[in-house]
Amino acid sequence: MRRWWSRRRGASDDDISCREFGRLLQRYLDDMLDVDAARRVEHHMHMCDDCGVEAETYQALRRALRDSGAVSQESLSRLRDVASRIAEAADADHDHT
Amino acid sequence: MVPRSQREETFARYVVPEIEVLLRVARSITGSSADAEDVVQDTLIRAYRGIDRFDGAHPRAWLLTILRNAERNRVRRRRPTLLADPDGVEISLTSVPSDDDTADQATRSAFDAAVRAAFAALPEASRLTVELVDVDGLTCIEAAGVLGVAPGTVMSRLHRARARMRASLRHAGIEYSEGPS
Repeated sequence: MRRWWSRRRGASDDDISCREFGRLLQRYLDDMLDVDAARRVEHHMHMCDDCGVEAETYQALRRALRDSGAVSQESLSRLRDVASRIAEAADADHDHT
Repeated sequence: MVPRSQREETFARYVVPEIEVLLRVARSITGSSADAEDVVQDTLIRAYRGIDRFDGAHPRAWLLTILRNAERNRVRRRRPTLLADPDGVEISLTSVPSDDDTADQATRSAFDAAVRAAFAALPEASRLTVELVDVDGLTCIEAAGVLGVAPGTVMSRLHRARARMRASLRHAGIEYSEGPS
């Protein structure tokens, strides 16, 4: 694995170490970094192959999780139907309870 | 009293676009597609009745609070003696993938299958946290509201869980390159 001191490919003021990148990556994935910190993370992932792969792997992991969570279209359709006549549904539920 | 047409308009504007997210979250916390649909229907009705008190800000957070209460009522009705765990996540709230999902697994890539296996191996509280944020698309703050824990707790659980899943992929020899292998 590339060491934090060994990354060098167009060094600039935006450079951060691999260790710092690892510390910030999760918050970057959750859009919880400020603009400057996010830019430094993005700069590093483009400069450092290992960290770039690490970020891509986490992003692919999240995509795979997201894809696994598709909801039933039939359920969705029924609920949208309830929503389209919500006043009647609320009255019916009130009468029922 | 707000006219019925205005209530329906507000409902259509703020509530209807969130139905899919509500259904995802409800499935995560109930572990059942059928129960999820019931909870969301209850949530929609409660939201409509309470819409006069909604100020138009943060509709998703408002709806998730209603959904959480609807789920609590459902569990209370079904299992009055159910105990809650120290983190506020009720023990019965599992997030085991449904049978509907199983059929899809056959066509998923090795990467996706490995991710699902790593996800299934997570401790329950971590799995539910990952499910709410990474599967259902909630923010950490929204997930904290659903779980009844601090946002920091959600973040630490989430980050540990992702690192654990990442390590599982590495141990399984699954690495991401140009695309999932």
